Amino acid sequence: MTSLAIKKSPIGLSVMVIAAMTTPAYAYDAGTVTGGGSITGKVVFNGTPGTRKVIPTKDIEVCGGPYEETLIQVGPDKSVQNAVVYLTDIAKGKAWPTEAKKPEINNNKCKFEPNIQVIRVGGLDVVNSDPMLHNTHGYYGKRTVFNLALPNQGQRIPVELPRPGEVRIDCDAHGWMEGWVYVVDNPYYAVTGADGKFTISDVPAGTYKLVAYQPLTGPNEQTVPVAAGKSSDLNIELKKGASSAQGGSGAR
Amino acid sequence: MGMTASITCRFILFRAAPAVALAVLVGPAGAHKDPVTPQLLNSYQQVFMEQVRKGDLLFHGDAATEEAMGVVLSKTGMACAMCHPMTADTHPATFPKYQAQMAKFATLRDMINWCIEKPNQGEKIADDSDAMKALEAYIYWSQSGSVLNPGKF
Repeated sequence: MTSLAIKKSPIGLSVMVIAAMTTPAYAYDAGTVTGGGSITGKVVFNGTPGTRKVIPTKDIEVCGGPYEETLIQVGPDKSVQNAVVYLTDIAKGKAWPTEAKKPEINNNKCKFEPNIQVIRVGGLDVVNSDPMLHNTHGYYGKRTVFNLALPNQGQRIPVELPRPGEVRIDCDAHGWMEGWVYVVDNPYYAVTGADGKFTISDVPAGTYKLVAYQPLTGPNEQTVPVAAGKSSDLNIELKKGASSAQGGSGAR
Repeated sequence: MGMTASITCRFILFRAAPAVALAVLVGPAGAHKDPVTPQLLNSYQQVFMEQVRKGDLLFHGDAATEEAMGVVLSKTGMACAMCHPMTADTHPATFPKYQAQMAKFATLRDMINWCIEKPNQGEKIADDSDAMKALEAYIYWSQSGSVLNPGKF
């Protein structure tokens, strides 16, 4: 499309307007934080967790038979496991954690492993551990970011996730498979454990937007003040039907 | 029903009988639909066929129609009609049903969006969007005469 066509096209124009409205990506300046504070807390869900019935429709010898899948992992004390908690819009702060290995998402027995993970902007390996075709498909919101056929067992294909946001992963060959990769542009993030708790440490003093996210509920956003040397303790309740200001894409 | 209730019912019916008789004789206002004139029928049909026409264009990947309706149905060069010439193998009369590709109970609209998102790598469209209604109109029109068979795999 020529630039003239973009000017004349309503879609092109709207894309330009949206692009102008979107916060431009910035490079995170990693360094050392002295005298920072921390944010600790617990993520809870008081609703009915609910399940979905999964009926594998092909490759049953590998995928297994029908089963019930929990839509949100809630403990007896309402704590939520595997909720993602992160701060947005931090341009400068602590160093990134050392990665033992490149992040990957593995098709294993027709499930994504890990089912939920956080990675920094950049590379992700898509792996097929199963002895038949998987077609791993990733989306930022409605837009395809990668679409890979992996017909062979042991196949590994690198992809690039170039901007922060929630990437939904599914498989075009096995429609029940679903996973999530949260791409972040700063190292201030955590994934809750079985007790629903999280800690984000070495946060420079200031006021931040904190987002807690789980696929069933969507985001919970709040403003959190952080004082030097102090810990802000939060109790975050996730609720179904929360809508993201970014149309549910989780993009920032 | 107890005896007391039965008596009460009969009493009410007895008292109400004149009113019921009057209603039967006179007839409630608007008991009949207005007659539909051939001109009106023609107008309705024109509206429907205009949606079929738009759906046909979308189904065949017409870029101008996609742009005009603000949708991106494909980014691969694929169009619906490449796999479904004349809407073959769309089976609109079998929805809603458990759709194996999606591994979920699905409507025709869900299936349309699956095709947009998977083979076409386009962007899902809203269930109540003009584009969805037009695609639905074209598919149903093309499959006129099909016998409803909801749930059939």
